[in-house]
Amino acid sequence: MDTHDVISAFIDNEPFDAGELARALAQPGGRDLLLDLVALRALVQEDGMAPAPAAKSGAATRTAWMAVGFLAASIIFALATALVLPGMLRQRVPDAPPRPDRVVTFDTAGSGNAQ
Amino acid sequence: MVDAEALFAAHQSGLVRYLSRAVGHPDTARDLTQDVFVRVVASEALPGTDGERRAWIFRIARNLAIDYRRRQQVRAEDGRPIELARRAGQDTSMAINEALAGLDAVDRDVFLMREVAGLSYAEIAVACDLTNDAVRSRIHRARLQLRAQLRDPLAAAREKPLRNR
Repeated sequence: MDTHDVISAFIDNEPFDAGELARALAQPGGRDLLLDLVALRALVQEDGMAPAPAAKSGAATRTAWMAVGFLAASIIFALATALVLPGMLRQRVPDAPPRPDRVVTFDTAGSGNAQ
Repeated sequence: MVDAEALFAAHQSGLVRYLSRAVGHPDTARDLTQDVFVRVVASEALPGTDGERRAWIFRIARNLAIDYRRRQQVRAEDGRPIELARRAGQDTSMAINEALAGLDAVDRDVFLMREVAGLSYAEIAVACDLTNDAVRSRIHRARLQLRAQLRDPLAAAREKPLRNR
């Protein structure tokens, strides 16, 4: 194991042995390594892709949740339609013909004598 | 019930940063981040503590990144072009990406989880199936290798004020 890994633990805010750190920093190159590791962190973090702006990500999240809500509503509507519509159709189209409530008759005997 | 929106808000930024470096392409990283949350939402139960939850989410992300890299490798072997993370005119970015690509895959993941996503050694250990000591050792080894390959950018970075974050 590299004895200098205590320097990594130190800059990462992880538990470390103080005596071990003191010895690592006292060795040739120890302090230089510490500065390089902090510089490496700055380099990688600064160069890293910036996170998406909060507003943009919030809008994307809202859009995603709206899509999920729309999908759920569509599924519920489809299920409800599939369950209710056949019953409604059965009620509207009974087997027996409807009873007449008005009867219209045509008197064809007198139509030829008109004028 | 999984509060996916709260988890998304808490971890989206770190996941995108980690995945951008892990797969080398920001757009792919955003897609994979969505995939992570699809899997989170589909799961029935979440780990109890925040730390366990974070480790679990990054484990999912890491597995997706591994799958993605494997597919890219197959494509490269097929002779088809693979995505490159290079941005024209950004020498430092290119140098960092190339140095990261030269790391052992596990070393790269533990380094990125710590350095760009801010996970603790214990969280990384859970996410990567390692011990805390192995995480500490691998992170340091990755740093030494990157230090050796990035001498000029590091010298330039040391000219500026440094802050240990």
